[in-house]
Amino acid sequence: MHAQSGFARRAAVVGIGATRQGAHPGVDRYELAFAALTEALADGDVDKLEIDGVLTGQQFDRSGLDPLDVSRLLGINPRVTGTLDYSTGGFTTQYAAMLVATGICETVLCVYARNPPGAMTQLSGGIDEDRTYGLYNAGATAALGWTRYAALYGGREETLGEVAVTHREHARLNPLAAFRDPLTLDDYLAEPYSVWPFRDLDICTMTAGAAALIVTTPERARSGPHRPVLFLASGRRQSARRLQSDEHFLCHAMRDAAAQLYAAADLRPEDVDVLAISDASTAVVVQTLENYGFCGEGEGGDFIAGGGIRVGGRLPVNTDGGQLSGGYLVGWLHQVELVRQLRGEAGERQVEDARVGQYTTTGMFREHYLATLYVAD
Amino acid sequence: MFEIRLQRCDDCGYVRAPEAFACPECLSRDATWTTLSGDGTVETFVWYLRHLDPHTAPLPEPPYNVAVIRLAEGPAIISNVVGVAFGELAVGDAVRAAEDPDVLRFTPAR
Repeated sequence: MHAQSGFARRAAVVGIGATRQGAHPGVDRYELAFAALTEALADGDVDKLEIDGVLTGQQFDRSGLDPLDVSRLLGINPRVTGTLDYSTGGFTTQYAAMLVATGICETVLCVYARNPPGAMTQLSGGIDEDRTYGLYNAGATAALGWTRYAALYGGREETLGEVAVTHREHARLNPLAAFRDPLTLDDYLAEPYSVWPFRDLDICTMTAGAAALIVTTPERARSGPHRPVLFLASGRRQSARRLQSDEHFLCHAMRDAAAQLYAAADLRPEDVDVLAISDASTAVVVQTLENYGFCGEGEGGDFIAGGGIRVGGRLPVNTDGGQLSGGYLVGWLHQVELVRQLRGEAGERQVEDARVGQYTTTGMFREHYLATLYVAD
Repeated sequence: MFEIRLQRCDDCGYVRAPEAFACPECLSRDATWTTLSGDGTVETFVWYLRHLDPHTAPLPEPPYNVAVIRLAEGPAIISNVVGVAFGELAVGDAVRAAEDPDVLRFTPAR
């Protein structure tokens, strides 16, 4: 396929770094970023003077890092600095891959850190969508999708609970994870609804931490200490027309991103060995499995009930605990975990023979859709 | 009944929400403000059973629902359905614009 020949296998991750996720009282976010990015430099055996692109993440509330400040911290004058208007992990690393694939940059540092008030205690997604009617919180937006999904397909709250429990099981295998106390389905069902049909456990909690990735050419990555992980394909769609789009809250825009992604890679969902979903809510995991074609429409519940998304299952999802239990770093940790998996360095949560990894996300008022396919070199 | 007025494109007939200076279907600049029937269907909804943090005040007092209403004329809007208790609202319910001098809300259609 030639649709993304300018992108496929033209960039690779050579180095990764991540702090413990959870609470870091009194620690400046630039300190957290410094810990992650210096780890990534060492991990990839990259000299700071090789870095000619610096991309950082900022959030809708302008929290995050300034890429020029990071450049000054590093004592470098890169060719490119940047932060996107929605600079979560997937969007930022794809932008880095584009810079490397075009030859505008050779080696791009991607880094994000935050230390919000309410780390470990406050629900995420605190944004007002419509004050007149009291619609706020991104989790509530996801819940709008689950209500409709459940009405159309008979979705069960036990399915959401199993998603939450699986993420906690994975987090217990991840020494850097934020939430590692045991969680059972009974625990989940015993919690009261907060924004029905969701409970608090359906929406990820704010955490503090940092993550960094270094993206470079495959040639440069091959001289590094680890197996390179190559960018293979991108799937994108913006549901800009929101409510007026067809089945906006059922995230049908994922189907468009999926079609682009698999066509560009000449792969099918069955070819994916490990999946990372930006799980600001439990429900999006079900919607992703169906809309991307990992299972049929309405079959997400059965897929999950059979243990399908567990490490050792048919399609392990969020093997580090995801955002629900691993740490809420807006997709940045998902890229790091996929790299670990495709390198074969995920230890006791390693997916056997993981060669193709996929990341997917949806953001904000269900407007942003992105998927990345990665392949082990 | 609260009067719902939206723009109907003079060229292609598309009724748009929210307000815009051009038709998002055909890009025409010509539209006529039209009073709609007030009829709609509940496409989806949530119930806030308590305040979540963080949020900005003021908010309705829980429990309250937020619903996506698909108006009979085509566009979808965000609103509240009043006159229903938690557990009484369902996807597909027929609703009608409620009496309110200030804010568009809906009640179950009889």
